[in-house]
Amino acid sequence: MVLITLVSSDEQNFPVERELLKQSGTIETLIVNMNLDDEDTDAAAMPIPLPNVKGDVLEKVIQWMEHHKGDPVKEGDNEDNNAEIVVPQWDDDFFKPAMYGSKHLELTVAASYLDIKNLLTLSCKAISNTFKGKTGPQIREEWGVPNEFTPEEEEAIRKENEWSE
Amino acid sequence: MDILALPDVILRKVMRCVRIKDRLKLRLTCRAFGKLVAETNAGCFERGGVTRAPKRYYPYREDDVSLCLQLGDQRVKHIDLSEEGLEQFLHVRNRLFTGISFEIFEFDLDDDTFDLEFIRKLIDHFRIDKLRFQLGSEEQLEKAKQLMKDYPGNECTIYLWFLPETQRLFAIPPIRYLKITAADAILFKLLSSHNSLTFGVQMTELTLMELKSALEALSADDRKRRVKIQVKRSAMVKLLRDCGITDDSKEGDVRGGFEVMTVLKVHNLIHLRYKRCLIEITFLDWKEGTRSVDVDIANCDEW
Repeated sequence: MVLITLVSSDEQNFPVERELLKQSGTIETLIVNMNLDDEDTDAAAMPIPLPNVKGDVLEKVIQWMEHHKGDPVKEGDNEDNNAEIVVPQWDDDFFKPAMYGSKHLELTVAASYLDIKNLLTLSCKAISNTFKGKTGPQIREEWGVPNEFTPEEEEAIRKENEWSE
Repeated sequence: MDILALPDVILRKVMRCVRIKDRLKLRLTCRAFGKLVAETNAGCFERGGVTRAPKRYYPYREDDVSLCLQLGDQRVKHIDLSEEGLEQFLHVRNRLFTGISFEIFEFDLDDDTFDLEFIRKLIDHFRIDKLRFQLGSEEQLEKAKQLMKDYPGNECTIYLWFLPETQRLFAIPPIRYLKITAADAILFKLLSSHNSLTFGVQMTELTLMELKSALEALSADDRKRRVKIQVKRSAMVKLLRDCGITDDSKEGDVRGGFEVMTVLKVHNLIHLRYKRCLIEITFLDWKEGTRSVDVDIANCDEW
């Protein structure tokens, strides 16, 4: 089993199975550019620096990739029926503990930076699910957003929203 | 890190997953969310559509007609057919999304008074994959043809709830699916241009020659084609007897070019093959009954 070492922004080393990294477009490109797949290259001696991802976030990314090992990797930008995407139970449980904190947001940013399309899609969908069926004040409270509307402004928006069922 | 500090590309992706109902609620959260809602695409929904608003949405109006717009999970229940009504809608739409996509968008234009330009402005900024029309008059058919021109190459389905003049019928550009609720043997001629045809009204007469002519045309066509018709029981029984197929026919029998593939008497069902066509005949009661017989013809080698 070939291992490739990823180095986080806080200098933590993560030896990762080569196969898992196929899920990341960014790392895959780096592997090709650094010739790490060549038989003559000592991949273990050439760690891949990831200056935009902290160790604790990278650890979560690797955990997610391990669970999704072998899943088909999406090609190109997906513009499927996004409203209908379902977050599988395992992923929901994976995201939930850190949902309203910065950890989940950092994981989403890492998924974008590392170009892990499936993780990014599910992570974005999980964020959008936090709005589902909630009122404005509930969303404010859960995401820690201050209320800056005057009662008149809030009423005006409510009135505009009235045309729908 | 707070949610609104996410990179723009991620926020846009998140917003493509948010239901319209929740976009409305997000507007009430804070100005930044309101701006985000207004400046992002709403994503792709399976269905959308425009139809005449049910009277219950505007019971205080006697004569006017209003429109209902289905936007995925959300219904815009009442859009006045006036400049003011359009402006009101566009004002809110501009605060709700920059664009929206639908896999299927249905136009149920059952009123001749609908202004085509009004509809066009209403669905501006909508990306539509497949168009579906429910049409009740020649005027509506003409408007539908105009709308179809706005979406060249898109898959279209038309349900005609009337039988147009033959010339107008033949002027319909080739589409994926055409359902006509008026029957006439001449409709078989439409086989030459449409992939899937359903004749929704019982055909009281169908001769063996007419059926064979349709089957020959379908067998000669390389495209995958399907035709569904309803035939008066007595006419279908006569047709089958004319070609030698009777109540006693068994699987493997070949009569008049038709091969009997399956006979399920308990279900009043029989499968026949004629050249490349498979024919499923259901609700076939040989002796009596008033129910029409369903005939489903496909020109593929497998059912």
